[in-house]
Amino acid sequence: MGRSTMKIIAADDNAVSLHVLRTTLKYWGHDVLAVPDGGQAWKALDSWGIPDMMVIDREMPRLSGDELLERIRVDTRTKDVYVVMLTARNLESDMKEGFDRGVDDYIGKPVREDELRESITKGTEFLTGKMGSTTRDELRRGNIVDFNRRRLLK
Amino acid sequence: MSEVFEPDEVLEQIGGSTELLREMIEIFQTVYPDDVQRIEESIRSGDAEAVRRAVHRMKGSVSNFGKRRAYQLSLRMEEEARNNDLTRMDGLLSELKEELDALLAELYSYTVNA
Repeated sequence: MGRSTMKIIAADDNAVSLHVLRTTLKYWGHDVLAVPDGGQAWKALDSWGIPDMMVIDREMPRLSGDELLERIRVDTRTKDVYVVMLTARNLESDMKEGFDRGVDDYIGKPVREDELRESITKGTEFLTGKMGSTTRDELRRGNIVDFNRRRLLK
Repeated sequence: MSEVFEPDEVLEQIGGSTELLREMIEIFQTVYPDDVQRIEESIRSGDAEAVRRAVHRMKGSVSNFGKRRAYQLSLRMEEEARNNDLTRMDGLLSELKEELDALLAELYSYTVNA
């Protein structure tokens, strides 16, 4: 049941970080479009199509991660896209506020392969119905717990 | 243990691919001059928010190679710019350039010897 290949847009203005994201996600077999800012991520929804997931940096030129998220959540085409936000900030208050605004998961920067894998796996399982009756809010609450656990282990 | 770059630490972070690490180094070698120029221009403009953004970008780049000296210096510059304090920025940029030279030398050494 369900597919494991996700269609993913990755957006980060840092060329090194973006290359790590693109290479890693492609290596896992996902269909990936990598773009260097939020504006191009938004335009790609028309030119490339609606993705299953978006992995977006918080601080980007032209359209920030927060602004992009706001657009994603109000657009009927994209409101259910699984959004992972990359952030250099590790404040719990930021996290809770972000989850309330529609972030599905957070990953600290620089991106670690194991954390990215954990997040993408959870998103894939949720989107393909492998989490049973788990709601989006329950998923996000679980992701807050996992994010804090990772932070404490560092 | 080097205070500048530890390949094993970065390899553990990215899942062990030496090929990916080499590609990251190649990209960094290509983009870092623009990032330095961006910081210089922002300091000249006296715009603290522009300095913070430019340094934040550099911090993101160097963080991929470990949170070591170049990262710590970028972090300090970003915090001072966030506090609207540019008084030490010229000196900190000189230090950052020295740290970048050291990092680039170790990255180059890795690509040649690994």
